[in-house]
Amino acid sequence: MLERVPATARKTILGDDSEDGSLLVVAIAGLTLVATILTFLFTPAYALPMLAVFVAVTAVGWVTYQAEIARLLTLVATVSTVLTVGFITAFLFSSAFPAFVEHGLGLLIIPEGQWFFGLDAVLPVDESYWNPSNDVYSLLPMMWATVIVTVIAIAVAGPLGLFGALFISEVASDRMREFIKPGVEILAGIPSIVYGFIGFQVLNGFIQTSFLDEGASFLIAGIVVGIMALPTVVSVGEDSLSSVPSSMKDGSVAIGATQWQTMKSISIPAAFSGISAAIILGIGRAVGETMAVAAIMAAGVGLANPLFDVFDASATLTSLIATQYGSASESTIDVLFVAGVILFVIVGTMSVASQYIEQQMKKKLKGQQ
Amino acid sequence: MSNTAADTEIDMDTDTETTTTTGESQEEVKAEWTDYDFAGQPKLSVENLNVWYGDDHALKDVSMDIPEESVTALIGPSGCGKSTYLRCLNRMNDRIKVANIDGSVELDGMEIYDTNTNLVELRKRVGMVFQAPNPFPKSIRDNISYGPRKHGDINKGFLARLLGQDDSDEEAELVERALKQAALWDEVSDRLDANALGLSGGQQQRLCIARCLATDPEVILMDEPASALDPIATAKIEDLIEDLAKDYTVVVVTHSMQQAARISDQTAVFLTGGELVEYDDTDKIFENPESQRVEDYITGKFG
Repeated sequence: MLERVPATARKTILGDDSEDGSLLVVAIAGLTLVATILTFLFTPAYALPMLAVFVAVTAVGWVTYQAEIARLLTLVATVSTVLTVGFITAFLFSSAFPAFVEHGLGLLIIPEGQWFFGLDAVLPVDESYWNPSNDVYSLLPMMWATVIVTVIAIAVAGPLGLFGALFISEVASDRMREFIKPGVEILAGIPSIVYGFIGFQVLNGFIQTSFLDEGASFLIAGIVVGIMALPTVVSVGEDSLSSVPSSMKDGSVAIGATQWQTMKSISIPAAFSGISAAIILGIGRAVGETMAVAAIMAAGVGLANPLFDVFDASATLTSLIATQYGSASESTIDVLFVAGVILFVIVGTMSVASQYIEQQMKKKLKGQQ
Repeated sequence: MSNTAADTEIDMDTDTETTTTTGESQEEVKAEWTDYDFAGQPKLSVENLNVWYGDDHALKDVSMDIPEESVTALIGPSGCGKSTYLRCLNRMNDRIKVANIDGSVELDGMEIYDTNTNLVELRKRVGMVFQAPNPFPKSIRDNISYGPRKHGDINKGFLARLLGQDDSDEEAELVERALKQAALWDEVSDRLDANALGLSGGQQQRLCIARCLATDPEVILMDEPASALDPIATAKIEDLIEDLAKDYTVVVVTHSMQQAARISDQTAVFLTGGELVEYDDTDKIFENPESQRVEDYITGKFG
């Protein structure tokens, strides 16, 4: 058993069809890489020459034993990606830890000394939740703001995204689809600050002059974030609608169902999980959206009053980090890390959920080609 | 089959010359079978049907009458246009955006390619069963009653109950009738609420036939209904088709010549290029075809 371990390791690194002698080159390349990292950690000044040595060894190896060196490089790339993400996560959680210890649950609920018992006692909306100079930290208003903005964004992106995806996959002609689908995908790539700026300048100004005197609000931020999520929702939703086997739709049409009945009773139910995954994915991105929200409502760190007042404004978890960290004291920074952890958990959960739902859909349609 | 008189007449007139001459012209062969009378009234009557997919001329000038209450088989090599032809009969080719169709198809003397033809009505009368079983990811019961529900013949669900128009009893009757007709009732009667995707391939295909029968069609089009099935399931489907021909007009596309010989009353042979080369009584096609090309195809020298 024991003597097989080196053999297995060798197989993993070199592959089972490796040439004799390749082990030496790969080993040297690996050692120089490790040496480079160590020099970088302890004597950064010499890291660059070491890197040059590693590159040179790799280049020589590429010429002599290309397959084995390429295999090593893919392994190195994967390991470094996984390690980077792992270290960032570990750093985030460990940085948030002191604030957790210091403030405890007060961070997530109501500031220390302001506890209210019983839910009938309306949350103390007038109290100060966030006041670094008095050491008052609560993330509750920002979490609530995030919830409101997200709900409004879903209300905007959900129906619009579904119908947009339906149009592209079922109604539009091939020619139209050729233009619309890439167009929608390009929209997803526009930097969010642009959306935020447009939202602030155009939408906010319009609402102020036409309807209300109130300025920046959850409503506008939610609408803008919803619009930002829309391309993702449409694009992923369209993918899942198109992946409904056309034989199934043909079956429905051939039985005398209209196109709309087919969409309603066959396409949407069959693609339902995919569409919900699309919405979750789009919103997951929107929740993590910083710049648009920060551009629209930078100020305010209090709970909406009343809680459902969408015309109120407050920083969300992301915009709090963006607007505060520049001027924050050390203890505030720690609290901001907690906000980061909360976001991490929310978005991570959403993305896992969306992947799970998508897998379920694949399972459901399996055997349907 | 029932048409022996006409059969012998043709044999006497033409036989030796055309079948033995390899250099015969298409027109001569065509002249032989186009004036042939089948038993029964023509249910579908196709005149000069042409189909293009973009620049590809997939079906060339096909004219043939399909007699009612019989099984008509369409055979030919892959890409010969037989499925294209079948899909023209209930206008499923309309769904292919590049398809261009020209010609006339009459159902009981009514032109189906009229601009104001009601497609829902047409497809209710001309049902279709596909090559691969394509049940909906719903319960067996919902699969069967799908058509009638969409046509508004059966009301079900919360709104219907609210309005006092719940047709659950009619639905149960319909489901039982259709499943019995498709010889599936005994196998699934105890699990009508189970998802149809859990059935075996052969059962799924019979479910699709039952689903098609539930809308009470007059014509049933089948596109290689048994090609994805094992021999036992195939035999069941074939028995079913022969049974259905008592009440319905059945048109079957098949790859298998043995299958065509077993189940059909008349056979149309399409050969490469989208031409209908010969159309006649099944026995005649398989025993004594007019065209040399058809004989070559049937005896395996071509295609």
